[in-house]
Amino acid sequence: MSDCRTTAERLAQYAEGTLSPAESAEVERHLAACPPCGAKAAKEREALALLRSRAEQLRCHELPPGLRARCEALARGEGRRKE
Amino acid sequence: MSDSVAGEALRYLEPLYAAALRLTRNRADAEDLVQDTFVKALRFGHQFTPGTNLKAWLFTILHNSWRNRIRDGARDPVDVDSERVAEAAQQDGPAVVDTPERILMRDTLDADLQAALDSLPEAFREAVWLRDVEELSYAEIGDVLDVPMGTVMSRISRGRRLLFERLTREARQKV
Repeated sequence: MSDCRTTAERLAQYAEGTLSPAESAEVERHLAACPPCGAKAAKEREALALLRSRAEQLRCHELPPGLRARCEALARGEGRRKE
Repeated sequence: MSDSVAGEALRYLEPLYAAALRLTRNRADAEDLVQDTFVKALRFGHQFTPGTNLKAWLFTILHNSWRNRIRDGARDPVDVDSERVAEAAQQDGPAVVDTPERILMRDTLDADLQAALDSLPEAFREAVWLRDVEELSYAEIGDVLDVPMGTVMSRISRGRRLLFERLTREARQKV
């Protein structure tokens, strides 16, 4: 039976579903027996689901005018002296 | 060689700028940090290992540049003492599973989510963002943040819970 500490170390991966089936089963046994850890896992899953569903919008940030052009110029080898 | 890195790097300006804004919390500084990152990417393009994740490499440069700026005192750090931050966050909120909160999560506005993310201590926000929004691997995040993988995982875990708590607290206050 794994303890709270071991479970806490695995929660990030557990929420993502990236643990091995054996590890995942072990975590689940602990979560079922330990309400505080169960609550932590539930919060983590909810936050992860929300972030994943909004990742596209969160990533999207309009660039300030001129920044892309300046970087393109740098990439072309122009304006390197300006740095 | 660095020509191809440069061309590819141009595709990541938006995520780099979003990252820079989160770190600097200031448009002018963010723009400066991105340009600085890009210049370094050009200069050190030969050090990039083809076949590895260019976006992660660029984030590493950006975070290194940011840490250097903080160290050089160019700006006041938002929260450099991540150990203290970690201790503070040890005190998790009450352990209650509240099913109606699932509905709250679904109803969270993008602006509320952004604000809740911005309110997290930098150490947690960056780990969560790099994993759940930018989809970097734990090892890549370890490189970007310059911390061991165990720390990456615990920050992601704690950061997600803090985010949940901020969002639900905020939602309760609005009612």
